[in-house]
Amino acid sequence: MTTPIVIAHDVHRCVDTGTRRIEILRGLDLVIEEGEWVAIMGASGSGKSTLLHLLGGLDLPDSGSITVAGRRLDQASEAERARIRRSDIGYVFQSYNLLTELTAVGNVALPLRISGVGRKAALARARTLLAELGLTDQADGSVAELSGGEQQRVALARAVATGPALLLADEPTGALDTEAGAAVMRQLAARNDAGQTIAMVTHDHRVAAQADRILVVSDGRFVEEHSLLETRSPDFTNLVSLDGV
Amino acid sequence: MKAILALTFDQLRNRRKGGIVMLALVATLASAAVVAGASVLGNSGDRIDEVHMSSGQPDLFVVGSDPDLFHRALSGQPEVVAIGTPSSGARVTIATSGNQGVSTRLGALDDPSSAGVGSPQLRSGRWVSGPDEIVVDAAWASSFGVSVGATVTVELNGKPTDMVAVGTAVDLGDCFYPNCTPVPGWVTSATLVSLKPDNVVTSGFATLAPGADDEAVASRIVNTNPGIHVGSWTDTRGDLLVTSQISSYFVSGLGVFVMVASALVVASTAVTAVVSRRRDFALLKTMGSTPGQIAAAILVEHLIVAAPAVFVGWVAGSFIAPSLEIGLVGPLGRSGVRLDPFLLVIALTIVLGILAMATVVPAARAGRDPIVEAIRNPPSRSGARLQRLIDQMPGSANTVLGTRLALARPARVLLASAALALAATSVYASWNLSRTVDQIFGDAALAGDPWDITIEPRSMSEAPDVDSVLRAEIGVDGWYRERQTSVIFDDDQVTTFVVASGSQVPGHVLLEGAKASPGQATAAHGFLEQYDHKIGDVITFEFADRSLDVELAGRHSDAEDLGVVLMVPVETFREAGIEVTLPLWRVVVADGVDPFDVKAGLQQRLPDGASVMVLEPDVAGPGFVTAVLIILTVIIVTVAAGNLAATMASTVRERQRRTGVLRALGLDSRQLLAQAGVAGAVVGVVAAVVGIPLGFVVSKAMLAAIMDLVGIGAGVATVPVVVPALVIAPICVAVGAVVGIGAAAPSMRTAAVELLRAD
Repeated sequence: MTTPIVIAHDVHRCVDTGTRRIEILRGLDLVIEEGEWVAIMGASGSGKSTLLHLLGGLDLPDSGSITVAGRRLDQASEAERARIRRSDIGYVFQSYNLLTELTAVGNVALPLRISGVGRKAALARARTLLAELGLTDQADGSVAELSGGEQQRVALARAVATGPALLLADEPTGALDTEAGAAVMRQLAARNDAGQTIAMVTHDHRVAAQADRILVVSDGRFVEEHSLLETRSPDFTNLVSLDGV
Repeated sequence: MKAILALTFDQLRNRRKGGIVMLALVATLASAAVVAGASVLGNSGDRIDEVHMSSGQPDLFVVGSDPDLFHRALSGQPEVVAIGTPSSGARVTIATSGNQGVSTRLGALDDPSSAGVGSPQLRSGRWVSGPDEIVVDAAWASSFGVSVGATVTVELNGKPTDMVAVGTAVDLGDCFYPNCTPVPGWVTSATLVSLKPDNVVTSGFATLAPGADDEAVASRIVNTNPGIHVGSWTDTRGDLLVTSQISSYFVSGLGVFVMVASALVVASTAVTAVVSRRRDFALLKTMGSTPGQIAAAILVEHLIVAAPAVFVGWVAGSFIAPSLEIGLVGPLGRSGVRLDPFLLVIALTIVLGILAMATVVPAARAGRDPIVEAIRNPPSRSGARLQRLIDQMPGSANTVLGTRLALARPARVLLASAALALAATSVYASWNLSRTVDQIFGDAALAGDPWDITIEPRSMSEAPDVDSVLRAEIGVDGWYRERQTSVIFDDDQVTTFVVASGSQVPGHVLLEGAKASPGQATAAHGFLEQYDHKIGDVITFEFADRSLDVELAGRHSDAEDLGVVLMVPVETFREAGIEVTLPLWRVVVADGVDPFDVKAGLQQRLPDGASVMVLEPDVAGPGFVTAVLIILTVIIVTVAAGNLAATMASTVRERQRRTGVLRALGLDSRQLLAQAGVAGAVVGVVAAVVGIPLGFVVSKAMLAAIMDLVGIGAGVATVPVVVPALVIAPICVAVGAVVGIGAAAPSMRTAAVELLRAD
């Protein structure tokens, strides 16, 4: 029997736009088992990114509970959530969000150094990760000079550097061409094969199809769920009924 | 032009209020400093010239013991066109309750309007008309808080007489207490007679023909009329202005710092504004704005903000200036506030000129910025080598990231550091100047008065009695005898102290060379500077119709006549066959002994009628100067810290997304604030490293200038290094750290998600 890494129960989240209050998530429930790869799909504004922010402890629900790696995010203080992010959560953003003043290896070493790993050990670990992702030659270069695909692979290396229990990926291929996107997905798959739990938000059916499970969010709740068998089916895209996804 | 103005106002509307306020603030301060410094110099001179005009423009002040000689000496001079009515007077001491006595030249003058040239100027109350009434010196009254109606004790020959101060006045034979003593005082002729003075002197003023050289005429009169002392208006005016000059130089000197700091702040805010709106400018260009229009709009925008601020600074500086007129406020009253349009033009020219220079480079850069790259708004690549160096530095992740944050925009941070460095320089210089001013004002020996008590017996025949009394007085550490006179050198009348040693030799402060032996003299700095002489030179002066060659053996410290003085041993005159009597005993009391106790003991034992006076410490100057220094320093530090806060806030604002990423990676608020603190501390370190050595150099230069101005010269004030460095450096770092944390704190309240969405 596997252990749940993520348990979200009856999660509500509203957003004030200034003129009106929009309910983004309306009593959402979610469980992600250890080693599972879950893709979250939905139309723009459906709440999928909001959910990812909540799972990453970057935002708090208005009500409901969220547990990641056995720790309640909704009850944790800002400092506690920072510590959970540091040790248990890795984040891959659509726009990479690398620190442009750091080299590639500096970016990857950063979470390790924040976690208290010594400079030399952090850099050594970062170089190993970059080598695994095929970025040995780019390790000491400025990240601003890397291609989009290379930058996203650096971001992936950074996200997994501390060995987090949960890897969150927000449209990881959204800003990449097909070839670069495929390379990133191969790396995610390799990580998942090695036991990494992944929650990924995407618009792309082909990208989502690589996950074990696809959850479709609409009106603040999951409205569809597709299993591994379905996602690997040649007709998968027809199975997903959402407009605009 | 229309397009530029439209762009300008559009930018002003979109610009952050904080940046506008900061720009306006520094322009106001710079303008106020320029206007206040210039006003003090102008107003002080004008105030004195007004008194001179209303006194009939006297050029000479003449004092002699014989009224006939007084007339003879003046009437024989072809340049003299008017002679005021001479008045008789006596040397007395006046005191108020609870205060020590001050040497006073008490003149008998029944009707000031009859005095003609050089008549005293009544400042308050009325003129004397009855017995036991006195009009006191306005400067002395101001120093001791004496108002009309107060009781004043006049002491002559050891006998006190209470009088009522019915008025206060100034005359131009004075350079105002505490700059000069004796101070003037006036009673009726009958009152002076009733005091029964032994020695009556005659004094009065004369006016010279236009264009006459007052110094040359004074020298000629002294040379041909031994026993007469002549003071020229040129000298008096210089003495009157010296305190105000020092004050205004302080203000102007630190005003320059304010302006330089302002220029850095303006450049910094301009760079910040341009960088933060780089993308907007590029978008404007896509819509057809030319590079010239954009550069001009940025320039005009800054000038539009600064121009009203300069006006406000002009008004503020004009209001502040009267309170900086140190030394003249007491006797002449505070100048009214004068809003001089000329100074407004000067302030506008200087401040807007600096502003334009500081803005033109970033404005031009913004105009030339490539559109595509600016729209993409990539991160700054400047300082890449610096960033790589930081990568290698040891320390925690927060230290490295904080240092990176500090140097993210090297040019901008350099400007902020430079402003803070100037603040550190200013603190250093102020510290030293304040210390030096205290030293000069507090140590009478540096001003040429290395004594505590002066004794003047009624007759020189009592000299052996004075010596024996001093030998018996246990509170006395030593004494020497002295006469103040004048010699003629290079056609000028030069104040000269003829001295002889007593049982011990309590010395003047010798700054260079050796004490004078017979055949030699020492000079103060002002003399050596004015006549371009050095130690070892042989000079020739005239005294009592004789020419004497003396060697300059050394340089002593003396601020009398701005240091244009000689000190000559009486033996030098004796060797030339000139007998000079030394009527004053300058007494030094032992350490820890109250001079007033010694005075009381001496008065009991000395022959009747001997005048005993305690040297009154100068209390007027340092307080004002120190206050001015502190205020200006606080302003500079505030401006620099405010600028640093604005710079750090801009850096933090521009890097909100980075902050969001770091929070996503697991940094908490405390760690992010620590990074901001490190970033600010880095600026503080740069400021300390630059500012403290610069402060040392500036302090040395300013001290040299001031010591030169007061006539003492080099060798008295030293600039300490260790203590200021140990105090200022941590303060710089702490200010930087606190400002950095303060600037970053608001972004800690923003949700990480919001930060990640930031552009």
